[in-house]
Amino acid sequence: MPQKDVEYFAPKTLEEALQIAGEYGPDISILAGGTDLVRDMNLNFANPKKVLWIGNLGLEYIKERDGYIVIGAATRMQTAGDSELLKKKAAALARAAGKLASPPVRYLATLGGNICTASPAGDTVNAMLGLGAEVLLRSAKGERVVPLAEFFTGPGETVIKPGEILVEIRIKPTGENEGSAYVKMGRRKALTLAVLNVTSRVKLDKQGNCEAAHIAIGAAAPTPVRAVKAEAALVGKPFTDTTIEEAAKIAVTEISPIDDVHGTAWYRRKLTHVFVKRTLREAGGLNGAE
Amino acid sequence: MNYTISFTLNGTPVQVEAPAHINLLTLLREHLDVVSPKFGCAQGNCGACTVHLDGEPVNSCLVLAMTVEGREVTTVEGIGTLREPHPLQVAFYENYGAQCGYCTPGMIMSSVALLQKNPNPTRDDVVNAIVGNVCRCTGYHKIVASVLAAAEQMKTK
Amino acid sequence: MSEYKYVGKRLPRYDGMQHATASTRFVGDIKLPGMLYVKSWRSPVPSARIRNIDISKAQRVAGVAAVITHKDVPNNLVSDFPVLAEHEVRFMGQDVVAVAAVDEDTAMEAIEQVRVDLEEREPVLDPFKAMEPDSPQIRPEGNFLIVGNKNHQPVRKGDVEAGFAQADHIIESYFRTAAHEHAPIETQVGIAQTDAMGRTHIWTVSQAVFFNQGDIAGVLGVPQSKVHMIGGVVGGGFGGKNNLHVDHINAVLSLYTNGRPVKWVWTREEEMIASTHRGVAHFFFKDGVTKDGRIIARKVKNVRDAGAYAQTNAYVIMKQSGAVAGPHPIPNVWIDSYAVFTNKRPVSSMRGFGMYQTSFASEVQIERIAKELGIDSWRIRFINAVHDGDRSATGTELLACSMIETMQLAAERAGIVLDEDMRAMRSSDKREEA
Repeated sequence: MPQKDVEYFAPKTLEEALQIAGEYGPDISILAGGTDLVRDMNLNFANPKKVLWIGNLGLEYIKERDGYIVIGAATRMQTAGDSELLKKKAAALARAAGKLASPPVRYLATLGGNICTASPAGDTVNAMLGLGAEVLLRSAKGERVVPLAEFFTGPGETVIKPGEILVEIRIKPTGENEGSAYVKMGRRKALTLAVLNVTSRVKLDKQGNCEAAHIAIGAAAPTPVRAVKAEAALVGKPFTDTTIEEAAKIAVTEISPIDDVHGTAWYRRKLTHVFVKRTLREAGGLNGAE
Repeated sequence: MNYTISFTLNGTPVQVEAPAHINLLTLLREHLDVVSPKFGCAQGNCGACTVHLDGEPVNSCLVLAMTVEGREVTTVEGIGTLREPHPLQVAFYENYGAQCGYCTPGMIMSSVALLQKNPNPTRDDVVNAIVGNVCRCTGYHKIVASVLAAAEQMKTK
Repeated sequence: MSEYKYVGKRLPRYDGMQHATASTRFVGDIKLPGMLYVKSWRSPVPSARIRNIDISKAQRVAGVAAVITHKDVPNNLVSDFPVLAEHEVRFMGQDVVAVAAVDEDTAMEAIEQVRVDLEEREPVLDPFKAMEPDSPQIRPEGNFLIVGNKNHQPVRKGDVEAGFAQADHIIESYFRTAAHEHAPIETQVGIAQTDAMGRTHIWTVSQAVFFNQGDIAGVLGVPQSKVHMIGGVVGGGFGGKNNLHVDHINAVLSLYTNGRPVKWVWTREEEMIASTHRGVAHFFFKDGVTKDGRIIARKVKNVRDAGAYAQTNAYVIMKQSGAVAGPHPIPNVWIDSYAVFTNKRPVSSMRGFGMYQTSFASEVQIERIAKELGIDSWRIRFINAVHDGDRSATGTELLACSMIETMQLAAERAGIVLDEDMRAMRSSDKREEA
């Protein structure tokens, strides 16, 4: 039933916001862009009694600080997609954000919101996971940093506790001999859920060996997946077609896709193989499309 | 419980009483009698509700009305009128950009946003700008032609 | 030749500026003093007997002006389709109870207070299962739409078995077209208001204003002059706004709101689930073709998944049975067109109204014939084109045919050079007797 008498808070300082979040705990919903929460309220899927909007807290920024790219949780998709800094040093995220949904959605939807909605298919979730991002959670009682790889516990479920607000995302920028890539398969070219999405981040040494690798796969399991076995199979070895193929094969064993209205498990496995190879090659700067 | 929301609508300050659970589309259509943005899906999938919020195109059905406090909202009524139409509106008329007209307000808002950001769009730029606005009548060709014609027209002005 | 003012001119739309400046007033934009908002209770299951409907709690919700069930409808049937379900529900989403309240939220709250006791039944969702003799019967009249005294629409011409015997090739195919939803950006919407003189004014998006007027007058039990339809501004229809969706229920509700208008805007979900759709069509083709590419016998079994109620199914299978033989002078034709009921939303018109399905089938079939015989796609159609004086599958003499001339012009405009003999053909050529 639609909730009438909703109580609304739009604090102007983070301290005030944390105090309100702490006071009401699980009884208050945190509103960022609204593309998930307001939609759910429209459809009677969510009827929060209290709503706290984070739009006045100065949480829209993308900059470098202490060797990290730091992004405010309320930063919108369109901003992230247009960001020269992200395009250069976190390309997968600029790619994922810049093409998400449609322009009117991108001017509302936020990176923090995408993470907290915690859909296994989330596009920028996939990109940030593949880039090795961490998030800063703050509460009236303190703060903690959680790697995104440890953040999701189930479809729509995260480690966020009542009273906590996700305020910032941190990503190590890609540097020399390092790159990232993102690809998504949808049933159409815009406004479409991922049938599968993959992000790879690769760092090579001067000899062309793989120094570090991240591979994130979305819409293929109850949570977004980091293909850690596939990553381990790459590190310390020459970065070649052979090792890439091997890693792609291993990545397919690390997902647990289902058949649903968007695609079949069989097809998702096929896509994983192809997309892991494709994004690894692009992230690793190998010439020529596969 | 009703709140007072004060914001600027098409350049004019307005104040309206409304409950906190409604979206901006409902605020405009039901509380302010501004009916140009249309209801099509309530999910951000059709774009019929597109308006500008601080000059940027958004799905008004996804904006919690309370969050527009102190901000600027623009609808088609603020873009042009029958007496003084915007060149884009004239272009839609001359190039058959509308059939039933129901998606047209959303198309106009998305296209105006594009032309404000990029006065020299390619065909691809136009298509990408209106990708969030669904039309079931025209097949889109004439809509794209209208926007390109407007861009051309506005350059020579 | 004098200069024409309108003929041959490119004229702007008379409502073009209206649309571009968003000054067009759609039905959903209209607000009237005292207006109430409507929501309905819909069946959550595809097939069930209704044991009891309890609206007492819904009636007591503050801000509710009226709650109606089948009992409150003067004449509850439009052909075989109840305005509000009485004994049973035959498709998921079928309307059972309607509420008019001061706003949509209150109407929704009232709907949530409605209690309907349903005895669920095994739904029949596959038309082929519905055709089996031991299938649950969806209607008392049975699962087949009766045409005359038959459970199908037959078309007979010549002797199709003799035709097959004479043929050099037999080409059999199965085709299926999908169900489609029109998805106009404007969902079903309407406003109704009954004035103090008992005249009901309906602001409608109907594409079939006068058909609906007659049906609504029947529902209300009043002369047609007491039903005033105000229509013409539609946010997309495509055939999806031909049948009654909101207007008849709104009209009944307006009898109980003391002159206050009632407005109903369907959600996108309601549009997808409960509005009329284009129906699925199954075609089983068997063609007998001579070695020089002439179709001399065609046998088609056509099964239309008719949904839960009759609606326009008779019209569609009548059209399909005539059209599926294609624009070809086939001497031996046997068509059986079935409309079979299932526990699904009613199906009706959509862009072509049955012809999209038959055209798809007959055109792919002739392509298969062309492939099988190694004859070019154009030539196979010229060989099988209707000429003036040919008889259709239903026996009509065809005059002023233009299939040949149209293909010639199409080829020319597409930059395709047809062989001399195809270019020389005319619809008026006398055909040599086979």
